[in-house]
Amino acid sequence: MTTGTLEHDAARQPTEAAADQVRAARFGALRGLRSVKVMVGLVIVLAFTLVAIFGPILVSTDPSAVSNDVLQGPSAHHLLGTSHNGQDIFSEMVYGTRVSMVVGFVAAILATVLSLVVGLTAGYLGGVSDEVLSLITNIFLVIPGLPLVVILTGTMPNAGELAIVIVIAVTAWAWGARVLRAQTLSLRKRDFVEAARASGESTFRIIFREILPNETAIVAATFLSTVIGAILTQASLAFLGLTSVTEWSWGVILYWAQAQNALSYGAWWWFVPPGLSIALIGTGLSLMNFGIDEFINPRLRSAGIATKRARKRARADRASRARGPVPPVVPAPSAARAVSAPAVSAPAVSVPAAADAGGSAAGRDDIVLEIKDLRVDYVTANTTVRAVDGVSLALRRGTVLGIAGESGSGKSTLAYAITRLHESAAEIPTGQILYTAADGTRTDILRMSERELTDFRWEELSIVFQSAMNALNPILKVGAQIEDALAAHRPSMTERQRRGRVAELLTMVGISTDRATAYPHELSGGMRQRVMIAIALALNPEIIVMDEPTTALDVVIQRQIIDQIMELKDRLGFSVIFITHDLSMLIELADEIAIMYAGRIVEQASARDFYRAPSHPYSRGLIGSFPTLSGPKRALTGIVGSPPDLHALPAGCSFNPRCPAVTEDCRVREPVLLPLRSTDGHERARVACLLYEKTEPVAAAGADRS
Amino acid sequence: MSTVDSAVEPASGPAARPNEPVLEMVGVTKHFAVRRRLRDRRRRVVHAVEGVDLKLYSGQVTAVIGESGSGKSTVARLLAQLYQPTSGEIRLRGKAVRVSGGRRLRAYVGAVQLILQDPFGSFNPVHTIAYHLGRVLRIHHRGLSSAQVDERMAALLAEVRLAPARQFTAKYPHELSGGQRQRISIARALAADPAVLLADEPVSMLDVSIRLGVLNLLALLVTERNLALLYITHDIASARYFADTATVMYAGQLVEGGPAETVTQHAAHPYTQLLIASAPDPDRDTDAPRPADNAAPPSLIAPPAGCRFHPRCPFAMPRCAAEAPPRFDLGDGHWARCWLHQQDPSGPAAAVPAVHRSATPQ
Repeated sequence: MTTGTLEHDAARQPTEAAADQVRAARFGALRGLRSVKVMVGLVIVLAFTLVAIFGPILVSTDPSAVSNDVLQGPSAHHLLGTSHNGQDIFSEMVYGTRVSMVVGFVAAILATVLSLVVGLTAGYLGGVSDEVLSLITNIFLVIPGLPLVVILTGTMPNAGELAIVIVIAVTAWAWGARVLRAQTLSLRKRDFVEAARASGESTFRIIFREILPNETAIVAATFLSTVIGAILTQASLAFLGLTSVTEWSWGVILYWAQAQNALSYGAWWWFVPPGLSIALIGTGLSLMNFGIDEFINPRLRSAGIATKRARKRARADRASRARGPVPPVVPAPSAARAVSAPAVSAPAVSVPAAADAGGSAAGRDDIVLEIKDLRVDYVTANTTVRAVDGVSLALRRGTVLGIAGESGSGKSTLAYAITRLHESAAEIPTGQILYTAADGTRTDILRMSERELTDFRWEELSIVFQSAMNALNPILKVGAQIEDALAAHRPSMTERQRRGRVAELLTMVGISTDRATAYPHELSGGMRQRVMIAIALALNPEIIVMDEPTTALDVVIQRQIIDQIMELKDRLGFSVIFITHDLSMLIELADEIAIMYAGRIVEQASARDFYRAPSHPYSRGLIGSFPTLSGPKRALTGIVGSPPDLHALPAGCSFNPRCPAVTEDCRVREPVLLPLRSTDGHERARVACLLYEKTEPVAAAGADRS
Repeated sequence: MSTVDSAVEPASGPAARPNEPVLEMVGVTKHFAVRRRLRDRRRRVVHAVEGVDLKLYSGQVTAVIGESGSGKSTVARLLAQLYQPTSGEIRLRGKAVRVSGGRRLRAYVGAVQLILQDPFGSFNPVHTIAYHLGRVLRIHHRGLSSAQVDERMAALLAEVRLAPARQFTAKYPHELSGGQRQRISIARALAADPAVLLADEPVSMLDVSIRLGVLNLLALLVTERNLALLYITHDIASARYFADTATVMYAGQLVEGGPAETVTQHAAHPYTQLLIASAPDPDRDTDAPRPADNAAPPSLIAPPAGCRFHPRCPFAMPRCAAEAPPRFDLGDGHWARCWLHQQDPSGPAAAVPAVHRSATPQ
C-alpha cells in the first residue's frame, strides 16, 4: 500500500466566498426578482391578478346593466366609456379580467400537469410506454390547435367556462410533454441519476426528487407560455362567438365591439382596453420568464450574489486607486522589495537573453518565439481576474517547450493568448510576443492587424487543441477540410496540387490516404487528432502550439501520437509549445519545462535538470504525485489543499497555503523568478521561491549583470 | 477512526472469511443490443464483457486496468446490479444475486456501493450536500431521527477528512472543488455501510496534485473498514502503487491478472506490455525499444476470432487467430490468457523466450 501522507483538500479556509455562498443559499431565492425585466413582468401580472380577484367585489356597476348613455367616450362617470346599449365598459373589463385570467391559468395548470405526467413517464420509463405516449403526443402536435378547439366548442353550444378550460388544456399539453420527455431522456442518463439508483432510491423519488427539480425552469416556462396561449385561445373563441356571449371576458367585449362596428364609429375605448390587456398580460408573463432560471438554479443564484459583492469590491478598489498611485488591481511583482533593489527584477523579465549566455548573437537568432512579461486579464462587468501574470518565456527553434500546470494555472489562457484566439473577455494589458521568422524579421504578435494575423496563423504558427471532434466540421470530409486550409492560404495551388498535398500530409501523420474521404465521425479519436495535426502541418509552420493534444486519448494512442509528433518535429524542424497537466509525459518529450501556478511561472528549467532536481516546492510536489512504473516504488507525497482559485488568491506567494516549506515571509512577500545556479556556476533553473531568494539571488543577480 | 461508532461497522459475518471473496463475478458476459437498421435483419450485439471472472476480497484493492471501450466500466455496473448480465453469475458472499429493482436492489446496494468517475456530474445540482448524504442514510438506516442523521453525516464527512461538517452540508455541489466533491462521493458511498466499494476511475478527472490524497483516503478506508475495493482505472502506474491485485482488460476480456507488482513489473501478456511501454514514465531508459504499434482496439460488434488481441500482437501465431487462449497459470497467482505461456513443449516455442524473459519473476 502507498506510503504517502494523507492530505485533505478540505483545508481551504472558510473564505469570504464561502460566506457568500451561505448567504446566497439563504437569500438566493429572491435574487431572481432583482432584474428590472422580471420586476416589470411581475408587477403587470400581479396587477391583473389583483383586479381578477378583487375587481368584481369593488366595482359595483353591473357590466350587463343597460343604460341610456349609448356609445359615450371615457368620462368620470364611465371610466372607459359605454357600449352600443349603454353598458359600462370599465365594469365589463373588470369582470372580464377575472374570466380571462381564470380560464388562462386553470387551463395552463391542467395542460402542464398533463404534459408532466406524459413527458416524465415516457422519458423515464422508455420502451413501449414511451412509444405509445410519444405517438399520442405527436398526433396532438400535428393537429392544428385552433380549428380543433373551434370544432370541439362548436359541439357544445353555449359552452361554459369549464368546458372551454378543458378544451384548451386538451389541445395545449402536447408541446410541453414533448419538451419534458426529451429533457427527461437526457437527465435520465446523467451520472447523478445513476448515483441515486446505485444508492437504492426508488423510481418514484428519482423521478420527482432528482429529475423533476432539474426541469423546473422548463416546466415554469412552458406553464407561462401556456397561460398566454390559453388566454389568447379563450379570447379568439369568444371573439368568434363560440362561447357564451353574456359571460364577460376580454374576448366577449371584443366580440360585441366587432359585432356593433365599434371601429367604424371610432369607439376606440371599446376595443382598445381588452386588446391592450391581452397584449400586456402576454408581455408580463414573457418578462417573468427571464427570471425563472435565476430563481431556480442554485448556481446562478449564488453567481448573482457573488457578482454583486464583486461589484462592491471593484468600486472600493477604484476609490482607493483614485486616492493614491497604487499599482493597478494586482500588485506588480514585489521586485523592489526583493533583496537588492531594481536590478534584480531585470533577469525576471529578460529570461531568454540570459538563457543563452554563451553566444549572444547566435543564441538570439535561435529563438523563434519570445514572450515578454505577458499579462492576461479576464474582464467582466464587475471583476478582473488575472489569469496570466507576468510570464516571460522563450522557445528555441526546433525544440519543445513544455508548459505544465493544473486547473487555474493559466496554461490554456497562455496558449490562447499566443495564438490570439483568446475570448473577447480576455484583455492583454502588458506584454510582447515576439516572433522571429526564418529570415530573421521580428514581429510582435500582439500588435498584428487582423489581416496579418490571418496570414500568420497556420502559415507561421498553428494550433492543435484537445478536442479534435469539436475542431473538425462534422459534415465535411476530412480531406476536404485539409484542402480548405490550403485553398485559403495558397490560392495559386491547383486542385491537383492540393490533392497531392493532402495525400502527403495524411501519410505524414500515419493515416492511409483513402481515409481522406471519411467523415470525422467515421474516425477514431486518435485518428481525428492526427487529422488535426495534418491540418496544423499543412502550411509548414514554424511553431505548433499544442494544448493538451492527447489528454482525451487512451495511453496507447497517446503514445502513438506523441511519437509521431516528435518524429515529424525532427524531420520538419518546427518548434512546439506543448501544454499539459501530465508532467511525466512532458519530462519525456520536452527540452525546456516551465511550471505554472496561479498564472505565474514558478519554475523553469531544462527537462533533464528539472527531473533530476526540481527546486520549487510545488514542482517537487507535482513530481511526487506521479506513481512510477519502472524502478523501485518510492514514497508519493502529493500536495495538500486545492488548486488555486484565481478569484481569491492568497497574499504573498500564491502557493503558500499548500506549501510544506512555508515561512511567515511567504504570506507577505511575493517571490520573483530568479536564476538558480549549481556550484559550478551552471544555471540549472529559474525559480520563484523565497527559499532560494535568501541565499542565491544576490550572487546570481550580480553574475547576471556582468 | 473513532468517528465511526461500532454499529456502523461493515457486516463482516461468518461468510466473509479472509480467503472467501465478498463479491465475485463468475463467467459473466454482457451483450448490448445494437439498434437495427432498416433492411438489416441481423440482430447484432456489442460484446461488451465476455466471460469475466473476478473476485473481490475484504481489506484488498483489486484493480481493473483497461482503455476506453475495454468494458471496465460495464464490469463495475454489472457488479452494482445496474445492468443484468447476459450470462454468468454475480455472487455476494457466495450467494448468486440477481436483482433489478425494488427492495432487493436496496438491500444489495447496502452492501455494494458505486463511486462514479465524474465528481461534477454525479451530484444533482439542485440539491445540497446534506440532501445527498441524508438520503442514503435514510434509505439504508430506517428510522434515524434528524439529529442522528446530522450526527452520522458529520462523522462521515470527518471520515473523508472534510471538517467542519457544517461548512459542507449546506452547500450545493457547484460550490465545492473537484477533490472535495469526490470525497463527498466517497462519504455518500460509506453512508450505506457497504462491504464493497466499486470505484470507477475515481481520480481521473481530478487535478494531478489532489489525486493522491483521494487515493490514499480510499486505501485508508479499505484498511480501517475492511472494505473490498474494486479500482477501475486506465492508469497502470497508479494500480501498481494502489492495488494489491491487478487485472488487465482488453476488448471485453480479462487478459492478465495477479499481484499488482508482478503484473506491472513482469507483464506476461503482450497487451499489458504494450500498455506499460506506452505509459509516460520519465524513469524509463529512453533508449529501450518500444513495440511499434499503430493499431486500435477492435470493434466489439464483430470482435476478432481467437485471441482478441491477435491482430495487433507482435507475437501472433496462427493458433491465436483460431482459438481463444485459456488462462495459463504462471505461479504466485499470476496468470495470462496468451498462447505464449502454454507449457506444452510441442507448442510453438520460438516466440516464447522474448516474452518469458520479462515474465519470469527475478
